[in-house]
Amino acid sequence: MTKTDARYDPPALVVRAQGGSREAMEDLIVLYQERVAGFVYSMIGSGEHLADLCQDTFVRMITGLPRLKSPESFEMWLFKIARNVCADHLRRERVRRILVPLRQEHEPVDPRAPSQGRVARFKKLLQDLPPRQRELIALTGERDWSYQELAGITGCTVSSVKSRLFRAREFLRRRMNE
Amino acid sequence: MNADPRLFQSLRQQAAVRLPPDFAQRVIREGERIRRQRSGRIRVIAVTGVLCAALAVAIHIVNRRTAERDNLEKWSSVAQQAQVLEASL
Repeated sequence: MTKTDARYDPPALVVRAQGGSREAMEDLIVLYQERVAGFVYSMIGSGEHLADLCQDTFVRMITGLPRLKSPESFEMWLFKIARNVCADHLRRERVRRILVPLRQEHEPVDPRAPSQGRVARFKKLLQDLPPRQRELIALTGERDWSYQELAGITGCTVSSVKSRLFRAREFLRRRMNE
Repeated sequence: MNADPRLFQSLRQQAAVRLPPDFAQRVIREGERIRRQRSGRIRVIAVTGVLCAALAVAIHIVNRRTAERDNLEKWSSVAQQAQVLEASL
């Protein structure tokens, strides 16, 4: 089944899921799981907690869906949940790093994995960005959101979005070309 | 600069393979478990609330009856004293 199938029309799926359809709920998760996973991965920079954080995001989606008033704003609402889940995780990780400073912080490298120089470098640079800038870059890589939508998801003003995005893009441009 | 979309596509692919194949079903099961847990918790809170209200009403009734009995006893003793006083005049 392709994503252009009528069954994969997100607002219609949201309405059916709000009506209690388990099938619609499952279709919504399947439809968005890769994009949400990509966003979470860009935010946390490792695969260690990825499945748990994605699960947390979608569980919050399921439990909060009856309260969503406008099915058209579902996507923005879902990424706002994902963003909050990541922010909570990053806060917990900061505290954990203070308490357990000697724990291994990086994923073990699989020697059989093909070298993905540019992607690996980009992933590393994303982690060097402050979280508020990183989330904007991760979101813009996800879809062509408007500044207003980005402000809505991240809970800041449009002017903050513009200046953070500018700084983040400048940083990435400089460092990717080094 | 807008980052190369292919970089995000690669990250998305790397992330997607880390999700279990039955991810959607797992999420729905977990959601149902949490919903059951929440409704169980709400039921416990409701039952506790009803019990507290019933206890408060019961205590109020017992206190009111005790106060009424005490008042009646006091009134009857006052009435007796008044009768004795009337008879002595």
